[in-house]
Amino acid sequence: MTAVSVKNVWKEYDGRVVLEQVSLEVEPHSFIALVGPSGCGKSTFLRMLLSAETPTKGDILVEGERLPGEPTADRGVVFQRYSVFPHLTVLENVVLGKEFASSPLLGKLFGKAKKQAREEAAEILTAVGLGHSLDLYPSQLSGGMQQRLAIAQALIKRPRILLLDEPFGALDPGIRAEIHVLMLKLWRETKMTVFMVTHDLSEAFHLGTRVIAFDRPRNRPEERERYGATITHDLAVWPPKYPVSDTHFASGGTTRLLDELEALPGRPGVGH
Amino acid sequence: MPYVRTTFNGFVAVIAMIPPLAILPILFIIFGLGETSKVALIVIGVAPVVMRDMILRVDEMPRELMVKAQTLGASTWQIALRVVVPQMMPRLIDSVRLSLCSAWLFLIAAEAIASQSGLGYRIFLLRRYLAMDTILPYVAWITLLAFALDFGLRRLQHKAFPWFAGRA
Repeated sequence: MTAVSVKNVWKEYDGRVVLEQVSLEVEPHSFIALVGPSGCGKSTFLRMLLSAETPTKGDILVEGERLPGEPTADRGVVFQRYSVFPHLTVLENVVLGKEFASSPLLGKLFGKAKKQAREEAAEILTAVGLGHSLDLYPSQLSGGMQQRLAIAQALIKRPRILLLDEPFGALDPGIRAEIHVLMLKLWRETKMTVFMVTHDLSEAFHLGTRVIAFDRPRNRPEERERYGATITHDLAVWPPKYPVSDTHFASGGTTRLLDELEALPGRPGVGH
Repeated sequence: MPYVRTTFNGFVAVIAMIPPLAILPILFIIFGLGETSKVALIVIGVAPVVMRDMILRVDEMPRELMVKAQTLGASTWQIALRVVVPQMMPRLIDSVRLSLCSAWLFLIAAEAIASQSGLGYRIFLLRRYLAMDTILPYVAWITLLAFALDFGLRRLQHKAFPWFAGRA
């Protein structure tokens, strides 16, 4: 449950304005989909939320505090590619997050602590549907399974904010639908605030509670240098998603949740 | 890490440019005519090349992996230890395999100049007698040794880093 507020953020590269006047208030437990044409700075915006880049001007506040200058463990990330470590097995990839936290010098756990971490990791992997592939290497997994792994890897740190940079862009439609169902379920269970960059509008409206469109209001060639992109549309997605889930989780399990989801009016069916 | 890099990068770049055979006499003077000078020659000749190759390979690693490691709570040291070094090991073996060629060159050259034993020494000794019939088997032996080393390294890479072979 984390609120994010973005206050008049600008980003310039060598005097070229990429983003200007970006202001945004995000409620806790939102699922924000960021859309827009290529090169409009939505990925840059996501990288600023991650602290992989710093805004030229303006502030980004999480729970009222300024972002630290480097990526930290409270903000998880899944990229379109290169999100998993090729030299570790599926299980080791997820355990790694635990090992970083509890073993500063060696980055490795032994004995009982190791067993415990492995069990926890296996549990999360089972939840994302990788329970049977614990000992495979990422190169032996399909694209969809790799993204599931990347999500599991981020989840073990219990991040307050999850950042997704076109995470499902390279997947085929069937796998994509499956992973959408998974993503919604995880989002509801973990109460994370999620930001997702996507090119796919239907995906944005399907997953998001709010869709933010970036674009350049001034886009003539001579203007492009000095005017950046900004938020042009900010749409709340109807019907609202999380009140449903909150009451639901007070009363029941996840399988029923998905049934309810399918039965919601005005929604396309999920997960065929 | 950037500091370590800026300190040593230029140093390695210059050292790598010194032709190792040109300093062979210096090595003979410092280490004597024994085995030490030959080992030193091979190290000086091969190490900078391998180092520079490793620097380039590290540069090739996707930035995303580093950011991902940071979001998993890794410190710089932990990233080096658990992410960068393990991924570099199989590439190090590749690099050494390629360097074997020049390592042999240095060895035989050093043996030709000053030695009392060794395959290179024998070849250059026999040259005086135009004994082609004996030189050729020696060449075959050296080739066989070189091939065996290369093959061994390749097997080691397969065994120790199974993830490396199947990667896309």
